[in-house]
Amino acid sequence: MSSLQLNNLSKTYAAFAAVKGVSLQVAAGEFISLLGPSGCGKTTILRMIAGFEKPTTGSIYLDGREITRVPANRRGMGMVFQSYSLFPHMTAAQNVAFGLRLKGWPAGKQQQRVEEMLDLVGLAEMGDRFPHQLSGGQQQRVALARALAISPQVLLLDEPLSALDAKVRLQLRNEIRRIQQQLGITTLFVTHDQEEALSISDRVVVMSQGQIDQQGTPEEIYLAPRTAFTASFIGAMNQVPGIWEQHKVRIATHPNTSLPDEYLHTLPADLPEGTAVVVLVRPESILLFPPDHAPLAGHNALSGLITSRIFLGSVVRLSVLVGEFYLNVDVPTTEAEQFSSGDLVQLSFPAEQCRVLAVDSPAASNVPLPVALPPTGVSED
Amino acid sequence: MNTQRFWSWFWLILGTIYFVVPLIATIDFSLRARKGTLSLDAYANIFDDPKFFESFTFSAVTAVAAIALSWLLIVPTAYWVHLKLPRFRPVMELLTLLPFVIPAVVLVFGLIRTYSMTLLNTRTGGWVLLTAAYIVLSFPYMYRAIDTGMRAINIRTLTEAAQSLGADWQTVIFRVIFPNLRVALLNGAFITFAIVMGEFTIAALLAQPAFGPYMNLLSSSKVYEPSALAVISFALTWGAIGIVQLLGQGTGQKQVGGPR
Ligand SMILES: Nc1ncnc2c1ncn2[C@@H]1O[C@H](COP(=O)(O)OP(=O)(O)OP(=O)(O)O)[C@@H](O)[C@H]1O
Ligand SMILES: [Mg+2]
Repeated sequence: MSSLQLNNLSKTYAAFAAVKGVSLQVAAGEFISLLGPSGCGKTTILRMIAGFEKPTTGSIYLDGREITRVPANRRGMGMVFQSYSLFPHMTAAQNVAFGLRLKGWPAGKQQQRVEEMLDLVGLAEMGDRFPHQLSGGQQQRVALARALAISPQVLLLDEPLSALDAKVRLQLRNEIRRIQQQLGITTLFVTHDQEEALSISDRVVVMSQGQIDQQGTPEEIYLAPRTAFTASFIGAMNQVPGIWEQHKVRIATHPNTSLPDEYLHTLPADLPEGTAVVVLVRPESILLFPPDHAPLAGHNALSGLITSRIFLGSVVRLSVLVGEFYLNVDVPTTEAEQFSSGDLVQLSFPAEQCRVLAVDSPAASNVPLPVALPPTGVSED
Repeated sequence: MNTQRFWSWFWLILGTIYFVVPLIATIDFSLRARKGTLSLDAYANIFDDPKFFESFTFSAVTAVAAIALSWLLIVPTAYWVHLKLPRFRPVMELLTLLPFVIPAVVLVFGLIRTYSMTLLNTRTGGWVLLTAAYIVLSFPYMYRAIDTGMRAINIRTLTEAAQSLGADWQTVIFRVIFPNLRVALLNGAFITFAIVMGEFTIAALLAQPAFGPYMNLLSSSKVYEPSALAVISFALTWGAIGIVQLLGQGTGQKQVGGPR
């Protein structure tokens, strides 16, 4: 178990800054996910930690000892790669034994360790198979066993599940978490799948364009996004543009609006009067009532027109046109029958489910404001 | 459709005739050393000639040396280009064309002019020069075989996986890269072997007792023996191909089914 510290780490390729000043503290035994869209620099960070890439600036510490210039083969990092990386000319067992052989372990001890590791990943019977005789999921399990065999200080996983089908992915990610907790190994897990990150991490680090956007526990990231980017990247999120006035938000929309109230009440925010803001509200936080329903106390009430329905399995996502913008509303599938396209409805959501972010914050400006864009996806009608 | 079938058969048969008839004719001729009957006399004469074994062994040893040195030279080079200098690849491809562009005669006179006072004064020196010249001659084939082999495996990921497990550069190259290039290395080796065994110009001009000059000598002084020798070389060549196939069988599928 080791702690890991990244200090102001940057990587520039020619003129392109792939990673810009990333600082991160990973406690011993912690499971951290680096989450972000393609090209945001996740792999680059992992490769710098592993020693495959030299940082342009910044430093890396392992247990308080600087390792920025230590060559990759002396860092003791276990790594599992996105693409299949088993040595094709060796059996699963030989693959797992590779690192032990280099360390000069005696054959008996090697074999014992190999069996232990293959057992840990549930492949005790498959030691004699060559990589081409294993499924993708099995190959990644062997790769995990191989990385863990050398008892690495830190385990680095670069989208190890992305090449696998959904079912195997789910199963293997839970297994990775189980093994990580069983061994108590410090782990950095790279993914662009938010569900994956939220479900197995102690802490999630959301990245955007080479920088850390927000970090926190999965709950914090999901429930209290502090930037528009994190808000829009994690789960579905409605964003209503407006102006911060007298501790509430005046909705910026067309003058002859059909809104009963042109103000939205939100969680308190410390913003100067007149700031351009977006109000964030999750689709599952919005309740639907008939249009003439008496507004609930403490709720914002808006009236709108259902324009489309998308079946998502356990919920149906309705797109509701409110004034000039659309809001997504998730209704449990069992209750969705009563709503169809063309219905007038009242949207009701409590003020404490609405967060306000200033639009001009640097992270927020990454995201195009979702004003009057109709939802994409397959509609039922 | 039918005419297409006809023409493909036509060309196939024509090609077969083109290759097989001279071969049969050579075999037939090589068996006619004794008047009136078919016999193996020509073959017996060759195998009785100690010069045959001397020159054959000489060339075979030279070929093996050239192959081993090319492997050691080209695998790390191609590996480095793949991993660190992908932009350098077109330059390498251009370099591989040079042995085709520069005739062997030019190459050998260059070598003689450069080394006549030094290396060429000793027997071993001449042999070293010959081996070096063969490495140059076979470089295009060897490089291309290895380059193709490297494209088939995920060099970067395998290297990094090995490094993270504690492997240094030598370990990566000899324990991970070489074993996964087995088929490519054997292909390159086979072509090199064939080139060296049949090469005449350089060996003759460097005055080396190689197989090529021996064949030449024989054909200018004997009637039936050169044909027998051609058949023997042919059999040896096909034997070598067979060995490559056999050795390659185990790993061939592994490479295909490896990292995708
Ligand atoms: N060797 C390189 N030379 C130039 N640019 C590079 C190099 N490696 C990565 N980049 C660039 O750096 C940026 C970050 O790359 P990185 O691989 O870290 O992204 P990522 O977050 O892992 O994305 P993904 O989810 O697609 O794997 C990308 O825009 C990429 O094009
Ligand atoms: Mg990546």
